[in-house]
Amino acid sequence: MEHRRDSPAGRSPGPGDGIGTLLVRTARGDESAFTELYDAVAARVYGLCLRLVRDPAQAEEVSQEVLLEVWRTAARYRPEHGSGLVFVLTVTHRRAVDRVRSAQARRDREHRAGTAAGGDTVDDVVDTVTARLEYQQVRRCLRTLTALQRQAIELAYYGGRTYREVAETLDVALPTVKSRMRDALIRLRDCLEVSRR
Amino acid sequence: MTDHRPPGSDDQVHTLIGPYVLDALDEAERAAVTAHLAHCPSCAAEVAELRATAVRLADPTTADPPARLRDAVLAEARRTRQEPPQLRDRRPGTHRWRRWVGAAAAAVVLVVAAVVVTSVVQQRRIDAARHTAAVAAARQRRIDAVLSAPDATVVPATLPGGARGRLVLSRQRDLGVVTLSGLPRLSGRHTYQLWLVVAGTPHNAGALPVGTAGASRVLTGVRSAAAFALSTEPAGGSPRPTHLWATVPLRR
Repeated sequence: MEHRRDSPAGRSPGPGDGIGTLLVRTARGDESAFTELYDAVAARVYGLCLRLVRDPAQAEEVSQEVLLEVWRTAARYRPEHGSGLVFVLTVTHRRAVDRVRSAQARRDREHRAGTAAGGDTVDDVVDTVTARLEYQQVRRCLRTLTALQRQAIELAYYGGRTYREVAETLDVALPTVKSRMRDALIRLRDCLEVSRR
Repeated sequence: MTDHRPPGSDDQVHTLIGPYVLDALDEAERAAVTAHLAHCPSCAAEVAELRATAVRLADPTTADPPARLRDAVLAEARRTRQEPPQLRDRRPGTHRWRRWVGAAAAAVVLVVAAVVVTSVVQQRRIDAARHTAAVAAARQRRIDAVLSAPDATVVPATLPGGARGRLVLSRQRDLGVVTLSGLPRLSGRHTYQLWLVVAGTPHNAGALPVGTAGASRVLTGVRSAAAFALSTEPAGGSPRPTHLWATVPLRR
């Protein structure tokens, strides 16, 4: 009831949302838009998958699933509900977490933890500058959290752990972990907004 | 389960919003929250907003996939049917991620989008950048010096014509990095030139190649600069700004 059966193009993505625009075009079956979309998000998708599943081969598999899911379900993207990148990375995180939670992935991850780091090449410099600036901002904001808040969201977001596992790992009560996760996100949101001003 | 309240109850759902956004729930809890969001617009709005924040945690995780992934994905897409726009799946638990999108209020994360837009623009410039490898290596060291400086500050800038800019400055190291994206096309053989304004006088910080839509540049001598400015100039730049296009005050 809260949304109409509007066409995907019913509302246009914001002026700065190139990804959103490409998603809308992809939803109409525009293969060249999907190609551009791939080029715009592949490194974000693969990077997040790699961070979570650790194993490059599995990260590649999950990335492929994610990108095909984006192709298949692009029509579900609603520009008025968020940016295109949030849409894509939400699918990515969910899929990567699913993979992490399968026993196979867990075993591999433990074996191969730490082998996934890739160094920047000189050619990447220009491309990575902006991402690094953002990283800097995120890192700064993570530092404003309490140790418990930070560990809770890092274990969940980067580690793919459930909040029950997080509670166990950090040896704190379940309600505490739940509220710390939410508090941490709210604090991060405020911090990131401030530094954007 | 140590919580015995029904999973669909408001109390229960509200305490699960943090873990939900972080994908840290088990399937049953996740389905309960998803179902709840469909008829709780304020919860959906909070989820959308926090989701946009959570996604920022992915900022540091960029990594280039192997080239074969591109061919595989594009080839597979050509063989894969898309869902038609009017299809609406009402069952909870399937396509879990979509619910919040469907129910969510607007949460626009332009900054995040701009990062990717920027990298698209810049990706097209990789070839051009290739022959400047040695220069880039030196620049990388300076960029590192800025980003690792304890006093580094970020100054975002909204520029005319939808362009975006972002500066990171370290006064301690007297260095800065500016990233520009979405610069409007200029007519003829004109381009953008960068300036640092010191005591009211613009100091040349380099002109961009004609046709450049996005770029990153290291700036030296930021310590005494009161503003960063962009002007439009004939190709190659000018000793003094001809037409001032944008000015970004640098906070002291």
